[in-house]
Formats: sequence, structure tokens, C-alpha cells
Amino acid sequence: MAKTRVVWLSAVIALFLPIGGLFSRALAGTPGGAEEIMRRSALVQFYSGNDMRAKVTMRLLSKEGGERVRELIMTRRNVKAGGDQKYFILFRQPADVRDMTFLVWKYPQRDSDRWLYIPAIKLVKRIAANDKRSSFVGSDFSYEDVSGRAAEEDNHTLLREVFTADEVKPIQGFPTTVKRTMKNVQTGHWSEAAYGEVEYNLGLADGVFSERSLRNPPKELAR
Amino acid sequence: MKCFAAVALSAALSLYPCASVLALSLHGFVEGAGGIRMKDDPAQARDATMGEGRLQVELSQDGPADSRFFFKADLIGDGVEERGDADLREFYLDVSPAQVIDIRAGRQILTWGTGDLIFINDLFPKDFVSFFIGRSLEYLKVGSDAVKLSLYPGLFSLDLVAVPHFTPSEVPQGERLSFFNPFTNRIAAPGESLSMRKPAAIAANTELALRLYRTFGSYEGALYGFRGFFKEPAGMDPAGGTLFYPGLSVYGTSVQGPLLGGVGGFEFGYYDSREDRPGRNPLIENPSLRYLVGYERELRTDFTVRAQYYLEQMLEYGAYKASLPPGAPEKKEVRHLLFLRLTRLLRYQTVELSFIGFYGPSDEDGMVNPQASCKITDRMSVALGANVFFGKKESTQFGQLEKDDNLYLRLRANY
Repeated sequence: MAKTRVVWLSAVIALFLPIGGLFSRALAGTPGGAEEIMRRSALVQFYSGNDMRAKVTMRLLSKEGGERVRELIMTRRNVKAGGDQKYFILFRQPADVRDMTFLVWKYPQRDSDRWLYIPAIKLVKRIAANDKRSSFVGSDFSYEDVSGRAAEEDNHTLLREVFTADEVKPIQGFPTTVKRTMKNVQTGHWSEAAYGEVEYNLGLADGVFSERSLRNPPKELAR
Repeated sequence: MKCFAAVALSAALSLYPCASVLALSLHGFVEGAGGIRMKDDPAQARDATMGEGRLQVELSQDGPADSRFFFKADLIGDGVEERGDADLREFYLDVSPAQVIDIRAGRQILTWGTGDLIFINDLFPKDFVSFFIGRSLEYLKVGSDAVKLSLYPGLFSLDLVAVPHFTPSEVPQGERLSFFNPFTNRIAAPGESLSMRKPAAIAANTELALRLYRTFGSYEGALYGFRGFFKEPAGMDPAGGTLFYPGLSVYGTSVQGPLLGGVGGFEFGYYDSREDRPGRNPLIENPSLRYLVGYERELRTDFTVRAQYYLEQMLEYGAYKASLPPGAPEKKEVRHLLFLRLTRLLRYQTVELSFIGFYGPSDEDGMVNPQASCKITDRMSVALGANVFFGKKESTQFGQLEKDDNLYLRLRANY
């Protein structure tokens, strides 16, 4: 089992932080080396197969030894390879978010459309979160770390954080990071995500990534 | 129904040891909640606005062919009303007889529309008392005994709801919160109550609600229709000294989508007050036009702002004014309401600080609700907050609650 350890940490980026957005946009058009590698790794990580489903178990650990667990089922469908994607997430744990569902229509060049369904009041809520660094369910991973971000946005996002791909294995021929860690070196807080029951090319229809599924998740997304 | 809920609840609890064997999903929580008045209220005998222990049991079971059974009930020990209670929150069966049809039958919570705590086309019952005394948000919605048919033919989606058994919204009635008595034109004294007359339980009074919706790229559009009754007692019957729920039809629309780095929405509804279309009866609410614009944006990481502006324009205002008896509090032709919600998440989203504010420039009333909540562990959470009301006139929505400011604390453990 090849254990790759990629450390993305750069203090230099801090210098560009105030103009991070401008800088990354300017770079996007250039065939820069690092930029290209990231774009390719994003494709491998986040575009494998036409669609994919995994059971994700996250452990959020504090320096003081506190542990919280998040368990969710994530389904992804590529609308276009390297382009638009749709994500559906069903939360299983902890109790206060159980049965919540989350739908993302993701576009590489503009803000995603996001909907959250709150089962206790049967409310579908459109989410305004457009900040790429918003924490995903309180973990050290951002929404973009989970769903994959446009490669050119990477340079201002990974600051004071160490990402490691702890275990990569081939599943149905696709190299899959089944265990990954994100550590905040400032606070000592870290999050581990384990991807289990990974399955590619399920043949999911585009229509299942809809409000209907948010309110009433079909078994193909919830199992 | 209460008795049934209690029996079903105890049956559900006795199933707990064998839940895993039956592949039943069993969950719930235990919650303690207390609230006290921040002001002396002569209209209220008690200092507490809330003092209750609650056990919630939620059971669900997947059946064959995408069917599902769902049950949720609360067992409540209420120190303010000094009684025990059982509340059947939801109890329904889902079936999908065809690929493009979903049916949900039974007691269910129904929610649609684009507003945050302001509702135009969502004409399903709400419990405003729970909201004003600081119960958790889920108690703002009350279940309807209904059948919902959802159709997904492809180009659009359609929800059709039939509610044969009328359920009103809970409004302040003097038990915990003061209310303005429109018969005496003053805040009701302790023990004073108003009787509310529900529409007769006959087939012709079945309420119907409809939503036709679809997406256009990133934008969502919807058309709504409703035929039923006001959910708040918007009619007065002076002969019987009672309030009632007049006939109401609503036709509306909404759009929602990305706007300036956030999410913007617009909703409109025409309220056809069927029992007073000409507006000449001052005892029944006039027809009106209602508008809502909303905008929400994450200003920075884990800090979200939402603002809303609501406008309600009374139709046939001239007829209303001409028919108003002398001394009765006069409503304005246009009612405005401003809304602001700030949400800040801290410490890996385990701490939430929130602020909700309403202000009505036309009624000169409003309320604020600051709240701090914390997830102590994955299973335990605590919330501390306050509801503060203000208003120049006792007859307005928030003005009648002016002396009901309260401070509340909730502690919940999930299982």
C-alpha cells in the first residue's frame, strides 16, 4: 500500500492572502507547475468515475483529547468530467443532525448552489455560505476539501493547515484516498475522515439530486 | 389523540430493547427547559413562562417498495400549567405507488416558502407561543392531519395537500403570554380567556394547498394556491363573544436564487378574505396583498446575516375605515416589518451566538431574541436566550407582549 504524504504548507502564501482572490484568478490562465499538479490531483480525487458513493466517518479531535464523531453518506455525480458536479449528503450522526440532508450543485467557476433540509421542521433552506473556508460540519475540512475545489483556488486556502492522504487504495480501478487527515497546526485540532463502502459508477440519474431527495432520500442515496 | 399518543409512546418505549432486532430506528431526546419573566406583569399570575421536562420518542421503519412509517411524540411534564401532557408531533406513512408519485398520509409537519419566520404562502399551523417563550425552533411548527400527494412528472414538481381536519396556529391566549382582548379593547386580565370557534368538521371545509415548483438553472420558482381558513383567529363574533377563523384563499408566487454573493428571494401572496371581500365588515380581516424580500449572505467565515422586509397592504381600506366602530383600535393600510438575523459560529461550530430582531415601523412594535447555544458533547446541548418585546400600543402583535419579556434556558440530551 503506497502511503503518500503530501504536505501543503506555505508561509509564503500568507503574503498573498489579502489579494489571494486576485492572485489566483491571475494565475488561473497560466500553465504553472504547482497549479497544474493540483488541478490534476483534484480530478483524480474528486472526479473518479461518473458517480460515486461513500460512507464517511469523521473524527474531530481536540488537543485536550475531546472527540466528536460525524457519520454521513456522500453521493457525487459528475455532470461533466472536470466541470459541474452534484453532491448529496445524508447525515447519520450525531443525533442533532441525524437525517439532515444537504444538496450541492457545484460549478468550477462560480459559487455552488446549496440546500439544507432540516427534518424536524420539514424545511428546505437555501444556504448562502459562499466562503470557501467554511468548516464542513465543524471539522478541519472545509466544504471544498470534501467536495473538491477548483484547483486555482487552492493557494489561499491551505494556510496553517497540514493535509495528509493517509491511505490510498484502488477501488474499481480508481485510486481512492480512503483515509485523510487535516490538522490545524495553530490550535492542535485535527480531523480524520475515513471513506468506507466506496462504490463508483452506480449509474445515478441526474434527477435524484433534487429537492425531492432532500425531503425524502431514495434508498440509492441513503443506504 | 393525546391518549393515543401516550399509549403509543409507552408502546414505543417498551420496544426499545428489541428495536435493533426489528430493524426499527428509535431515537429521541430528554430535555429540561425553564423560562422566567424579566418584568412584573399584572396580567399574569406566574413568574415562570416555561418549566417543563420533555421526552421525545421518534420511531421509523422502512417498509417494502420505498414505503416508510414515521412516529414522533413528546411526553411532557409541564410545571407552568401543572399537568402532564402527550403531544403526537408526527405520525405518517409514506408510499410511492409509482416512480413519479410520493404520498404521505397522516399527521405531518408541512413547510414551504422562502421566508425566515415570516410566512406568506406557508399556511400550515404554527405555534407562536412556543417561539415567544423560547422553546426550540422545531416547536414553531405544528403537525397537520393531512394527505400530501407529490408528483414529479419531470419539467416541474407539484405538491397537493388536503387537510380534512382543521388545526389552528397557537397564539397568545393568556396562559403564558398576555393577549389583547378585541372585545374589551385592553390586555386581558388573569384568568380571562377568549373562546375560539373552529370551522365545522365537514367535508366541504377540507383545506387544500398546492405548490407547483421547478428550478431554472440556479433559480427556483414556485406558484402557490390555498383554499381554507385563516390560521389565526382573524374574525370576531360579538354575539357569542368568540373569535373564529374566517375563510381564506391565497394565490402566490416566489423566486429564490444567488444574488450578489449570497441568496436573495421574493415572495408574494394575494389573501382573498372570502367572508369579507368588500371590506365592509370590521369584524373580519380584509383582503390584502403581502410581499416579502429576503437576502442572506455569509459575511465572513461562520458569520451569516439575513435581512428581510415584509409589507402587508390592506385592500378595501376605505370601506374598512368607514365601517370601524368608534373607539376600536385602527389598523394602518400598510404594515411594514423588518427582520434581521445574525448567526455566528465559534469553536468548530459547537458554539452558536444568534440574534433575531423584528421591527414594525408602522405598528411601532417589535422583538429581539438573542441566544447562545453550545454543544457540550455530540449528545448534550444547552441554550440560553431571551425574548424582549416592545410596542407603543397594546393592540399590536408584539405590543400586547410588552410585559412578557422572558429569559430561558434549555438543556437537551439526545439518545
